[in-house]
Amino acid sequence: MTPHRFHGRALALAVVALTLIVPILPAPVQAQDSVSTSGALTHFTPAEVARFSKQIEGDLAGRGARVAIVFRAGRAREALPKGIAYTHGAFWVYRDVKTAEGKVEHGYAVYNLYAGDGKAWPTTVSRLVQDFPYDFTSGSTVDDVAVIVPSPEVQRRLLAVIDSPTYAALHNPAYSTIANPLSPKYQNCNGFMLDVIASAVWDTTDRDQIRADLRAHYTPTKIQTGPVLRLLAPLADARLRTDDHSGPLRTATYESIAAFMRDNGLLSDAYSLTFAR
Amino acid sequence: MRSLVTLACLASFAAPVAAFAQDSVQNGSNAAKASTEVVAGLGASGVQTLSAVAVLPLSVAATGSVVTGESLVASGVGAGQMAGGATAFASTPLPVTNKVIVAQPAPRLPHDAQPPAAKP
Repeated sequence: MTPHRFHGRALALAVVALTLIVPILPAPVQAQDSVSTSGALTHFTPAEVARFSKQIEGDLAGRGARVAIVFRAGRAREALPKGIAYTHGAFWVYRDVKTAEGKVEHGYAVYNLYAGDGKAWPTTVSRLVQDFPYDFTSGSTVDDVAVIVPSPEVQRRLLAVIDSPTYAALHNPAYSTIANPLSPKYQNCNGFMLDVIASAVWDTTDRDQIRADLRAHYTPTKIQTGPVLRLLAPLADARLRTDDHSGPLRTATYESIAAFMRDNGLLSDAYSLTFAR
Repeated sequence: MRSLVTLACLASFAAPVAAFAQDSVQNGSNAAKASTEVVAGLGASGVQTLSAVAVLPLSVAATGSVVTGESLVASGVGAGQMAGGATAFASTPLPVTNKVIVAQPAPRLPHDAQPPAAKP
């Protein structure tokens, strides 16, 4: 075999290997889906979304929660990395809502970080979007959500941050689904919420200080993936950016945020809430 | 062989894109359409809906925390919600509407400035 032929075959084999591997990459690596799903019903009917969103609101209101952190699974559980059950989280804030009829109703407004779809804005760029429980719940692919109810004092502090310019100042639009929350380079929905929580509990608006505090006290969730998957992930999806990770892939999740808040006495409760069909 | 490899390579890169299309965020016009459809669909299901004009932090006294760099938590933020006492804050049940709140459709305004509407 001539060297030329050998290289040709090696190249062909490499390409075929890529062909087989790349399509299956996103499933085990994707830990987040910070996308708006308003109107994109798949798991629930509209009436079920309405009932489930009201069930969540009723649960939070019954607990007196002014601010809660709610997580949904926007992907099938079997497609999520091991140890990660939810993909998108947002602050649910008890608000007075002025209606088109001029009335004021009491309910929750949802404060999200959403990534683009590549049409309205790029997939690797995020925006802060406020919508409502119906919008949030419509994106769930399962019958449950996870809830963190912060302690009353943390709720008070979170309200202070959310209603201040600090909230937007903590946003980094550079988006990665697997953003390392201990690095400032990229941010996803849960990483943004973690920064808001850190700003509130440490009473600081300094992003470097927040990063230092989180490095000392917060342990992100490891995403179990092999070196080949890690190397090829960015080829499969532009949102799977890994250059902010130096060791294992780590990101912020419901599990690690709840653990951080529980370990530091920052929450009243953390639980999953199942749709009462 | 070369053509086959090229084709396979292209297909492999196209596959994830297709798989992720269903998770895509919607553009403004789709969102407006979706909002209208949501209201119509829920109405047909007997679910009461209302369109939100604005979310008001009426019951939140966040007025002292608007300058980045200042202490956010030492400025009395949240005091407006503590009428029942600090210990009751975020601990007592809250009223919540039974209606499903949905966003209004995307705004559709004429490009040119319009004369103010005549007062009734």
